[in-house]
Amino acid sequence: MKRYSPVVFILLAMALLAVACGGTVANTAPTATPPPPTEKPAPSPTPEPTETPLPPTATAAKAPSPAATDAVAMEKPTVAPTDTVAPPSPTPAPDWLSVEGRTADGLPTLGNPDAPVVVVDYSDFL
Amino acid sequence: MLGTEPELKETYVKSGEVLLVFNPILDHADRSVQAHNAAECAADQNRFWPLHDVLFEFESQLYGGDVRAVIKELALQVDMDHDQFNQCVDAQTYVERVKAQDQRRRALGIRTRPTIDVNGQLFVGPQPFTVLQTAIQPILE
Repeated sequence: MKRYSPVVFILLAMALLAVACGGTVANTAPTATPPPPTEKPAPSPTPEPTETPLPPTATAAKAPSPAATDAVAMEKPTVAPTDTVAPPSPTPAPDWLSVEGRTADGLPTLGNPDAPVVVVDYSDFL
Repeated sequence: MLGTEPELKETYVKSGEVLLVFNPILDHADRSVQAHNAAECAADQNRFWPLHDVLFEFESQLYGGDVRAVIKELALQVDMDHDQFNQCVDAQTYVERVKAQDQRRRALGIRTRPTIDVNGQLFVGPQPFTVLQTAIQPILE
């Protein structure tokens, strides 16, 4: 077998080291490439912030939620009444017990002149 | 009809399903004429039915004394212009009208008091509300 001098081993080791260092540099370079970084930043902010905000969610639950709900509740009626107010005004149920009138014959009437039923009471006060 | 009228009003007149009409019967000569004339005077102020209710409620008082004075006194229970009302009563403004209305019901053959006409169906004599209801309800359904 051929014998190698220790220098050869040293050189080999240095070469390996150089390769190892070069790999690191090479890895650094690809890391800078768009794909990996894009993947990393995306997932990391999503999970972590989601968990961190949870405690603050209590803050959101403190007032913001009800406040927002109230705000919506306040806004809706403001809009709804406009639509609701219109129909009710023309539809006030008349108090027929206070509506007096006359028949074509001049007899006194009480109630809805267009009622489907007409009840005539022939009577005396005595 | 006095007995059933409150229920009739509350159940059907108030809802607009029944129109109530009153046709006088002059069974007690001048006392009846005066009472109906007074009711017509109240009608001038849209107070026919309030006075009608008072006269029925206190009808026993109409049998004695000066009937016109009694009516004027009873009419104080009705919110209206009493000077105008009293003048109308004294002027006998509607005597001929109520007499004509009474004459018309005689011509229709209605002799019994009270007689109730429900869309042409006659009920002679006092009737319980349920009887009138059996005549009214089918018409509404």
